[in-house]
Amino acid sequence: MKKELMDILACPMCKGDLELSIEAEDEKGEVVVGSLYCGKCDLQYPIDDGIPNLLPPELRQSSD
Amino acid sequence: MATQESRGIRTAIMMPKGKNMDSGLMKEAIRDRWDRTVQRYAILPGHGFISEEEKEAWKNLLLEVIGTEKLNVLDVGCGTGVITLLLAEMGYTVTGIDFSEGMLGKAKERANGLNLIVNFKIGDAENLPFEDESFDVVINRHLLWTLPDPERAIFEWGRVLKPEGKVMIIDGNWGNCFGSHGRIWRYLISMPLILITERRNPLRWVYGRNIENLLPLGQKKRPEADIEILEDLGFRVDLMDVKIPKAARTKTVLGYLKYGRRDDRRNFMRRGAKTGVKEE
Repeated sequence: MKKELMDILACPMCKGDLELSIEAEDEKGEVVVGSLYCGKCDLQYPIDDGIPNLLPPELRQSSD
Repeated sequence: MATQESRGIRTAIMMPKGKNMDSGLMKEAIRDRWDRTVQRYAILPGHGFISEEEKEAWKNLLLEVIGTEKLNVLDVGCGTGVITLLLAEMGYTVTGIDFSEGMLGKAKERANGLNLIVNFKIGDAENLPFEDESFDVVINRHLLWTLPDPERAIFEWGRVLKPEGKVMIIDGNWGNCFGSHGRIWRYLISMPLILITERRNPLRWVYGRNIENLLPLGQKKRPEADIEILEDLGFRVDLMDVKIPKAARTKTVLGYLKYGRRDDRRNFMRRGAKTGVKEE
């Protein structure tokens, strides 16, 4: 996931800003593993394999 | 009863008997369905179009609708990325969102294979994870009718659109009440759209009757029902004709990709179009 996408990403619930935490990046500086956090909703959205999972919590699979 | 239907909808979603299906449960069932179906898509070549001719026809339609400016496009319910990758190939900045991780994985794999840059997100069409006014175009294909709350979805698409932005919806009459005479059409906000007619319901095998009957747009006359929603939300929708090459039409994978099988002779009986403008 490109970091500049943070400009348009928002919490799917409150549409508020998200904070990015990076655990792993690739050579192009894209986020491979990490998470996005909404302070207002106190919800964390995982980034796995470069794809952020921004599903509302009730739609996430139990295996997440 | 089970015997007759079980062949066609072998892997259809089965809902627990006697339980009311809320929208979350319904979405979960639909998502699981697509996650399980993704393997079937792996056999499809390239973008998932059967012929170059068909791919070109789609390209021309998209170009006519979106224009040559390299706009920001959001493909909602992008699935394995058929339209998403085509848009990326055409030079648009594309974001694909889908709530099936399996489908998105396939889309990403294809994008990598074709060296195309696409931003993929796992997310819900009715709860988009984007700031207001982030995109120039919101496009979706065969999605709207599967949504438990289409009004909310269209509201969300309008929210993330920039002023003068465009929504392009490609969908059809898949509901039971229209028997085998469902229609595929597409409509766009502020641009031309095509209306294609299909005779059968290609997605019936996907969801099975129990879910189909519960989906709001599955029971309504379309595109009239969609237009009503769009107009209520401040969009204006007009009609106009758009040409699709005949050869491409008969070969189109509209009937293949998501449907899993084809019936060239019976697909796509009629065409028409409309346009609309998002009113500010």
